[in-house]
Amino acid sequence: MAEASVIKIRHLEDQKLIEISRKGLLSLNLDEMKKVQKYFMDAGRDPTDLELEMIAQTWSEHCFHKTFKSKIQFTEVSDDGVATTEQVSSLFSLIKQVTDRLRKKWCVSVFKDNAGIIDFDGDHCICFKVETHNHPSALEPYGGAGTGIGGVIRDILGAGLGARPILNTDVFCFGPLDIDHENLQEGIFHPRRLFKGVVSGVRDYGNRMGIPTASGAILFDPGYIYNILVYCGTVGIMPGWAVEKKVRSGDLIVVIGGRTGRDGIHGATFSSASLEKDIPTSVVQIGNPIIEKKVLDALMIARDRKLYSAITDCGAGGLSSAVGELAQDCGAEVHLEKVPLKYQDLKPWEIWVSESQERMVLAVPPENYDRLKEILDAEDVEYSCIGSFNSTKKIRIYHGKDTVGELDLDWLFQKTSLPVLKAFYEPRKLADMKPENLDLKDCLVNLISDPVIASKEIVVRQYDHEVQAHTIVKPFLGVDGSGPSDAVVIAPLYGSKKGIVVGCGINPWYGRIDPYLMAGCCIDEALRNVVACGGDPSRTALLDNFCWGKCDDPVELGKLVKCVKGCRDFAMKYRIPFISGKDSLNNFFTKQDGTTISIPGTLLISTVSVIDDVEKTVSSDFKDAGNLIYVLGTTSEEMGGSRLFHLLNMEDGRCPVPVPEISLPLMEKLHFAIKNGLVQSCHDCSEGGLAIAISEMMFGSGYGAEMVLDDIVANTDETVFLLFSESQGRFIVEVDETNVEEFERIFKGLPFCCAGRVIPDFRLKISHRKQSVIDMDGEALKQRWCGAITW
Amino acid sequence: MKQKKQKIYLVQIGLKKGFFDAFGQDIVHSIQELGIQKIEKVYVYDVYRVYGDVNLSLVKKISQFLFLDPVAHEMKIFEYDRISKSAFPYVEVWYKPGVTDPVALTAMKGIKDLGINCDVSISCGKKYEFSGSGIGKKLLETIATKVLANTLIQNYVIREG
Repeated sequence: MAEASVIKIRHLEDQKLIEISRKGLLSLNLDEMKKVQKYFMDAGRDPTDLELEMIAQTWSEHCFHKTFKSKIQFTEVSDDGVATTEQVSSLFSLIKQVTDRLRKKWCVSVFKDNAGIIDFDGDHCICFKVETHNHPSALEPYGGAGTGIGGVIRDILGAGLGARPILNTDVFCFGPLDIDHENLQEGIFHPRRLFKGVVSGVRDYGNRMGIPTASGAILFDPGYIYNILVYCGTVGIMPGWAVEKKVRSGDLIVVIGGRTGRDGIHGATFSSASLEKDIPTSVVQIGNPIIEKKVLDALMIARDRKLYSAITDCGAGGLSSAVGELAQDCGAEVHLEKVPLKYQDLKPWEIWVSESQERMVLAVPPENYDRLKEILDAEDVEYSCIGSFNSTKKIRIYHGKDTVGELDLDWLFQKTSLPVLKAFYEPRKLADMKPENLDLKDCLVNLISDPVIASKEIVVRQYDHEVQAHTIVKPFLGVDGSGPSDAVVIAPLYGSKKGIVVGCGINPWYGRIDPYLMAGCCIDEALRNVVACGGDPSRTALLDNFCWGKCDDPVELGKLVKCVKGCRDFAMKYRIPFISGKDSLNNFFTKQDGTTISIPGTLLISTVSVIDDVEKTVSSDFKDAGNLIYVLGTTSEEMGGSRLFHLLNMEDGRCPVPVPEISLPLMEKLHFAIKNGLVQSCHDCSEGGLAIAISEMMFGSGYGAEMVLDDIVANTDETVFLLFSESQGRFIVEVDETNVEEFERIFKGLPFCCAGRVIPDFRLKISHRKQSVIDMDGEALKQRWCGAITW
Repeated sequence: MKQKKQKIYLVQIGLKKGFFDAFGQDIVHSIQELGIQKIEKVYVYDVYRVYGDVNLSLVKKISQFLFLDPVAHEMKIFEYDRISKSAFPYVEVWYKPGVTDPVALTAMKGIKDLGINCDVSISCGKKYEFSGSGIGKKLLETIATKVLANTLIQNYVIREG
């Protein structure tokens, strides 16, 4: 039988301590290794390999989020060159401030469980979690992305006493698909291979689990060639009573689902390090959705019969993390020989930290265990009781008769003594840029086929977005089903019209110019998305997911601090709370010559809004010729980071500045107008600006549009800005003539204007100052839009 | 007692003639994207290694029930050490030992569900046959690593035909 080995660290010098951490892939720094050394000196013995692994896993960036919990000394240079330094208590506390201050009664459980939980209809709650699975997907796109979605589904199964997954979301960032093979570094997959693999992985896992995948985005930028981003999210619904969980001393530790193998060992510590060329096979996991589906079915029955007192998923860090977290406030005794294995030669530490998929850990009162076993047997789910919880405040781990680990839980989970990090931020010096002598028609054609803007239908259609039969507003709608939706609407309870609207906002290009404003723009866009479909801004919650580069570099960290501050300030102004979040740092690649390439700092904001009636929602396709087209919001010369500037290789320019003071009341009124049936169709104005938004509304309908730019509320009269500027807070709205008076009354005092009309010809006609600036056949445009991304 | 040598069977499942092979088409595209124009067609097969306490008729039974869709597929079973020379060059891709093979696990469970109680193991992979002219080992190697296999978790076998 494999045994634990003792690692002598008590008398080692600093250099040797670091070596042990490095050789063992522990990712512990010198301070941490010294803390470990002191603990074992006090204990009068040396640690076992299992103990070191458990400490490394618990303290890893991935599980403990050191960067987000540390104090930061933040130096910021103002526009006029004056540097000021302040102490930031922690990035996490900045985000949490918003939720604490807003005190929304419907926020049921935030920032403590596996997912954020909000009230749905008084009897049920909605939970939402978004995770990233970047490193594994870069190494094995199919398996990595599949286990990414599998993992976040388990987060939902492990939220409270378990929720039923009702929607998957996915957002991917890849390198450009047309990049030359010759230019790629050895060991890096071509973006196209990653794209196909990742999409296939998410598709197969989600479809086989019977969960609709219906919301998301796909971005392309050279910054993601070396490190792709794969965000996977899941929304679940649960009865209100199932929100609270509490482990009781005496409860049995029962692990159910998949068997344990050598899969994904060191995943948690590995994802806290950078990507390098030589990677061991064991860090990759392969998913098995059929097992997870059985686990889901069994859990829902067991939950409703109240057979267990707590549950969590086995994610990064495996049993070590799952049992450790559950035992944190009490204590536990674990017998590793009882864990069902895929093969027999696993060492105890490997069993303990393995990240084999499809496993959940339950705390089961002994008197319920037989009834639980009946359900698990009936649903064909494997299980094993591997120990029990107690009140010793220690975790003791056995393998057969051997004690292979014993750690003090208070020490292991202590929250003190994180280092103070240094961050530095200096705003980019930007030149005002004005594109000149452009052929506007060319611009439109090139923009519409820009992969970031072009139709993702070829991807979306691979996902089952209607399984479970409650998807109301689908990702693509309109007469021929090709008009893009801003968000997805789900009515999760059969027989009830109550629903949720889910959207997202992401734009790393604004972040290159100003990470603070990027945060505001992402929040504005994510909120616009749900409101455009009928969501209620006052009943909307946010999720934040940061993917950042090398954060021990003060400059990269400085951008992150600015971005987090942006999240806090703008969320506060829009009065929407954060309910959950996750960060994935150290997304950088170390080249053979030692230089590193960081990804562009990327923030994904996801939104979920609860609405009373899913029938009072709208899609983005025009409904009838003759209807009027309104433009809501103000257009300014804000094209820094825009798609047009990207096409023109213009790197400067001012990026959009969200104006919550106007946007929020505007969105509230729009929600009111949609709720009262005054809006025929609505689309948010984002990447590519007004011209793109109107084209997309045409594509789903077969109708055309005739627009006049002269009266649009704007701080500019340049045609190019009116057409393609990406100013925030704007919507295009189609209104029936009979509703015009009431519609205009609602928006009185806010920036809006009637700028055109839906026409029967499938043609886009735009004029400015009495001159035609664009007059194009809709079909030609649509073909460019649909054909840009091929499988 | 006579020690019986353990046999390994290779079950190969492919589309019947006349069915559109979307997967094969997709592979051809991916190869062309590498700048390789020599490959005209790719035939894709699901392949299963079946070994343990089995004989040909049992392998046939297992395959018919678990692997074969009789409407769209046709099946061939080989004894592994007697595989004849293939008419086409091909690449086989298999998971490395220790990597979770979900389809194989499900198949082994399926065998038990069929009421067959013998000691049998399965691993599954893919086989890609290529038609075109001048397809050499080096080319197959490029295709295998850039399109077909992820060498982090998979091994590949090349036969030049």
